[in-house]
Amino acid sequence: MVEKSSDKIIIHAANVDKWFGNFQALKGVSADITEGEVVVVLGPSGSGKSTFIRCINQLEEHEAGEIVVDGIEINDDSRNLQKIRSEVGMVFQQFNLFPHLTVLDNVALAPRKVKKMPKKDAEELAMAGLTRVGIPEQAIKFPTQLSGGQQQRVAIARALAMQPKIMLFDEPTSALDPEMIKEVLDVMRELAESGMTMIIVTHEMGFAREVADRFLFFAEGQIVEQGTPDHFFNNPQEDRTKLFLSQIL
Amino acid sequence: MDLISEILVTPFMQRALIGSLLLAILLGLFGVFIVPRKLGFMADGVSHASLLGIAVGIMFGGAPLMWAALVAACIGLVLARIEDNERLTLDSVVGIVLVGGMSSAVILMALTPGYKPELITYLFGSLLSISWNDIYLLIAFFVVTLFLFKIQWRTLVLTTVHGELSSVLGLPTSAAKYFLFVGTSVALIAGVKLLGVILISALLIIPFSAANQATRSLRGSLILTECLAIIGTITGIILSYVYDLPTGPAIALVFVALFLGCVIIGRIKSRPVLGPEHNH
Repeated sequence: MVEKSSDKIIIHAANVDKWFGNFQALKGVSADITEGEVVVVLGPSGSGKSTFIRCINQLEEHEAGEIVVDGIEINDDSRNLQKIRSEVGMVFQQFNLFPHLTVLDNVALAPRKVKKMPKKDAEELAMAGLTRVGIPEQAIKFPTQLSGGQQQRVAIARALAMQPKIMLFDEPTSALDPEMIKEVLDVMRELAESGMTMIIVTHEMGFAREVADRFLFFAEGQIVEQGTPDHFFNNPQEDRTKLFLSQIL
Repeated sequence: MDLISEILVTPFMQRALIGSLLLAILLGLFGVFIVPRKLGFMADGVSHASLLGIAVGIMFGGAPLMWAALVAACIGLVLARIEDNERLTLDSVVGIVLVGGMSSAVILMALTPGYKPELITYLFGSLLSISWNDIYLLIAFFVVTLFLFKIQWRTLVLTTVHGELSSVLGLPTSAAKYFLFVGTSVALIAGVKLLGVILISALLIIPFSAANQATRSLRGSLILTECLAIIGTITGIILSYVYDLPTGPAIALVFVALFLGCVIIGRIKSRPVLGPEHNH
């Protein structure tokens, strides 16, 4: 297990607002996340959890406030966006692989196209990633030939291939059959233990309690409560948090 | 046989067939990437708004289609620029451009004295309007565009298959996007003499939409799109010649028929096959 001792703030969000038409998805959200920290984001549907992490790699543009990722502010400068995207890996609810590319090509794509890595090196890196997530033997298959759990592990390997400093997970197991959830959580657990900075939106409470350094609880676009797993599960302060926990535990 | 020989030796039909083949291939190709991105409406907006360029050309002299291509390229650049703008949706901008361009064109034409017979040609297309110079220009545009397609092919495929994932991976997608928007816009203008401003979008939108009813793979769609584009255009031209019909509407209606045919074939293909236990 890698020591998580860094106090360096790697993600700084201050007073972030995000609107979808007339609906305000984020209302003045502020959070600092330190290097190596594993933060689990919880909250009811439509509370702004996914929007928050999508703003961190600018899949959604925030309208007000400030988001700084590893010293780079997210703004209209496309060079900043490029740098941030190379430092932030993301795994979605759906497996999000290119169906016409083999597993190996999916994983090697970004290193080749973005980092301009020679094909051989990119494929070696991709194989190392596939080995890390436990499916090197699937390299020459196409995504549709794999189970959901295997596809999600490929998606994790694909994100890791860019050697990101931060990994974002947006409900990575919610589209999986129950028997496939464990294999994905095992990979994420290993990643958390390796010292990777992770922000995870999930409803897998057992897993979250085990790996999280901190919880952020969202409701109606705001962070209502945050704290350690012990605080969150044993001593929640806010009525909204208590209600949520009573519904899901 | 007589009809085919007659068509092949008639100079304006030779030009129409060569031009339509090149256009069918080009616009079919652009359609493969435009339609899945739900940008089909852009074709109507660009082609209609480009009437402004045609009006400028007629009013002030010069080649109207060159002015139209310039207007279309500018619109393509603007649309590519605002594609990801969350406050300004693409369809609303296309609507504004369409209305603004056409209104300006109509007012300009009203201010231009004299009868303007060529305007109808630009609206609905005409076999007779295509010159050898048009064909040479079209060949040059065709070659350059295919070369650019070759360079941008992989990125176009990736961003079409999964735009969000391409963004997350940080793939360099800007050049491909601008090529797609500007290239499509100019290619539409290249086909105005054949199908006219009103109907040229049919050649961009319908072949892929029809192919997509019968096949799901990108490669299959691409091949079928190109086949349908070529078959539809040539059939429409021959019908137009034989029955003395307006060219643009004839081609467009053939495409509509092909689309309906593909929908029916697609439905039949997707109908569940009954197993032996159902054969009573």
